[in-house]
Amino acid sequence: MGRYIAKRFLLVIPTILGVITLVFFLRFLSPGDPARLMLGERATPDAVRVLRAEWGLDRPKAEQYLVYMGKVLRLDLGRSYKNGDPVAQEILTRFPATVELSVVSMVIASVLGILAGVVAATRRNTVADFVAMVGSLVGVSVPIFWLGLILIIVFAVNLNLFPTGGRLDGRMLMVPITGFYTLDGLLYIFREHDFSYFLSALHHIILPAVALATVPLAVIARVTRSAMLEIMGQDYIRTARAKGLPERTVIWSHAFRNALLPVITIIGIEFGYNLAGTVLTETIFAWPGIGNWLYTAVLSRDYLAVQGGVAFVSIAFILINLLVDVMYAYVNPRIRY
Amino acid sequence: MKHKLMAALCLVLAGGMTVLAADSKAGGMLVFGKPKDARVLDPGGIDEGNSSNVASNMFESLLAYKPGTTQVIPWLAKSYTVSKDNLEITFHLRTDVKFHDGTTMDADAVVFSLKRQNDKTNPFNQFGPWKYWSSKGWSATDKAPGLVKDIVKLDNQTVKVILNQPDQSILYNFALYFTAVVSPTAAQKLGAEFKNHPVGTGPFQFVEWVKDDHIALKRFEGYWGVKPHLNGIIFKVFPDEQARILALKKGEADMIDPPGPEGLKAIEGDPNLKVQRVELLSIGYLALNCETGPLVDKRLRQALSYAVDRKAILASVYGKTGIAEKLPIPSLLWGYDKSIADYEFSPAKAKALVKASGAKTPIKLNIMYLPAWRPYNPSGKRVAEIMQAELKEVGFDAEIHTFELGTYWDNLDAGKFDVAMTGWTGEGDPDDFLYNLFTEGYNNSSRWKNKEYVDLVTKAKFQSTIPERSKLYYKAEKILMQDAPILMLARGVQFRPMNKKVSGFVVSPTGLMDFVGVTMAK
Repeated sequence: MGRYIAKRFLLVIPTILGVITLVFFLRFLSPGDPARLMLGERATPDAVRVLRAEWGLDRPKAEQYLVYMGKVLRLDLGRSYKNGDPVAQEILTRFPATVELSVVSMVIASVLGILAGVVAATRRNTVADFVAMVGSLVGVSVPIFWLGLILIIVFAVNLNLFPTGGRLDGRMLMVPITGFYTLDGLLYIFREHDFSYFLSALHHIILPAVALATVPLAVIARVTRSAMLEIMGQDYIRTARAKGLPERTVIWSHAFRNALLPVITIIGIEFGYNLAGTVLTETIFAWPGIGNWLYTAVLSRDYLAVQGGVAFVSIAFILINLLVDVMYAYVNPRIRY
Repeated sequence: MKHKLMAALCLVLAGGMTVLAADSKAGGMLVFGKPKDARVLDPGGIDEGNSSNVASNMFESLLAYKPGTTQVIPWLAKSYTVSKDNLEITFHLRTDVKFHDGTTMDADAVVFSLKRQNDKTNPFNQFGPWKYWSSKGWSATDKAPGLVKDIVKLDNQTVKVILNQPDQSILYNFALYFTAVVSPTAAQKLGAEFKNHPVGTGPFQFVEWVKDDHIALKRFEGYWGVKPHLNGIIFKVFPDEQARILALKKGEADMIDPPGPEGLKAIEGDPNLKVQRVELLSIGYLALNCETGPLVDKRLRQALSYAVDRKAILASVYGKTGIAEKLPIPSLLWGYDKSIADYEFSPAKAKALVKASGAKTPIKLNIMYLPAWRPYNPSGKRVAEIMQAELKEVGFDAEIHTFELGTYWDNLDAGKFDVAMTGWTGEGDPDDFLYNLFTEGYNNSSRWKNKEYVDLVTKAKFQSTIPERSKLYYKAEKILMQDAPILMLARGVQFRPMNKKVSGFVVSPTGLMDFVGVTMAK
């Protein structure tokens, strides 16, 4: 097992370097000069020339690549063109917001998706199955920017149940401790005996997490349903039923545990997608995470930020996949590496 | 430690309430919803509105715009004198100004703030780029000496700015944020981090910045001028326009940045909201390529000016968000010649000019329209569509297209168009429009070259008085109108939405916001 994990870790290195190289050269396909964009409408040709030289953009592509890779190998992702701050620092400041949103949305998606999938499979061809499957089809099809706005209009504006966006009440100032606001809110309860931060953080995360959960929820529900249907037709399920075991025990102890493997895979993959794909949700719900930041970086041709951000998200994605593989062994004792 | 800071902040905010107990308007944290976060908060490094709108509440310059106007008045400098040869400006500083860190604003602070931007050998020059300073050509490059030769301390309260050549238009720049005075103590201590933890002399001081989320400011109790009523301001980022408007409607934000025309419609009719109208120094126009293509012929450029019904465009595309302008200088400014005759809408005159040019019709034209809403142009596409139909009537076959904004600017700079939409938001001196947009450089999008014009607007820089400068600008404007290197569209008008409980808010035509007089009804 340890050897397998070490091997996978070693494979991560060339994968990351490959991603960084690809993103580095893809940028040359994108039109627009970052120095011109950064200096804005008032730029003079001289000022643009000076800035291009300062950023090394006037050097040959190969030289730019070698200089950049040299820095990356020393764990230096460079400085953002936008504000001159280190890219690594910019990423780490925003990453907790994205992780927090993704985790909460995946908890919602996993719990509801598995429930919907199991219900649909065990009540096949009933109204419950129909509702769960049509619901999941709608879930994967609805554009998230539209759904996000509808959620805001209905639940935040008309019903006044949730805030429209942000991570905390607009007038509430909290010095972040971990960067995970729900966790920080909990720490504030213990340290300051103040519940307001935790409640506000929780209140703010629900709508964006629900919006972000729709696609993974739908996918998890469909995968769970088909995995369960396959298992429910197996001989040992019939045997369990013949033994007179209660249906609940048959479903959850015998069928579900064996159907978990593809479900865990899909949860892992969806979590990876979620981390990388929060751009629209973060933009609509004013969520200051890495997706929002990457989007702005792409528009302003902040190459170093884009390269660093993509590399970081790729590493997260690869590590999640590795974690999923490791979890296989735990879930299915027959799998040994 | 962080919690102590937090507790201290709460105490300070609560303390502010007590101090101003006698002021019945005092109190309240105003939440301002904006589309993008600031880039940096060191005024010297700022060149865009999302940063300057926040920083301008914490920093002040030697001069200032009288609130809501383009009139420049003494501010941190109580007075100033300009030498006879127009090469030296001497500022006499106030003695009662403190920075937010408690240190005194004096000549050393002014010299530090300006010299770090001008002098490449200054140890603090590395914390740039000083975008505005360099984009104005003030500092020396390897090709040319900069406009500003040196900044010298004469005594504790007197500073002299020495120029390499006379330029009257430099004065208004000392009312802009990039020349603001920063605390040398804080800047030296923080180095590169100063841009994230700014310390100035303004009515509000920095509290915290959570990137892409919010920037919090609180009232500066040691402010030398009229103290604000508000306890503080929170600039909160709502990237999506519709979500921003919904936050305003719900009371999560008290004010928001001006929305586009569609967003404005969503706000009108809400009983809790109001909009404040602001006429901007922001002009929208079409650059006509004078270097290559059919519009090198002046008659065809004039024909275009006659062929397009600008009144109809103003009414149907701009609506309330634009006002008619005939020249590329806002009529709010001195130096604007009211008597000059504009091109009227006359397809007959346009046809005659096309015929006189001898060009084969239909004349192919490539029109590049703006891909996004700008303060000076609400919908480039709709303007282009109207023009396309009108130009067809007089013998032009116009093809309309656009690009993503970065590429759009690249093409604009490279002159890859016959007609291109563009615009300019200026800063209060005619030079910023008439010199900047029609002499050498990126901003001369039309690539128009007229020596007589350049001589006039260059000479206007050297004159001491407004009447002397105005005379030269009037002459230049006549040439501009006659030669028609551009087709004026309109000047932008902003509508700033806010909750009805907010009052006393002032915006200058340059777009900077003044919160000092703002009160929030309880």
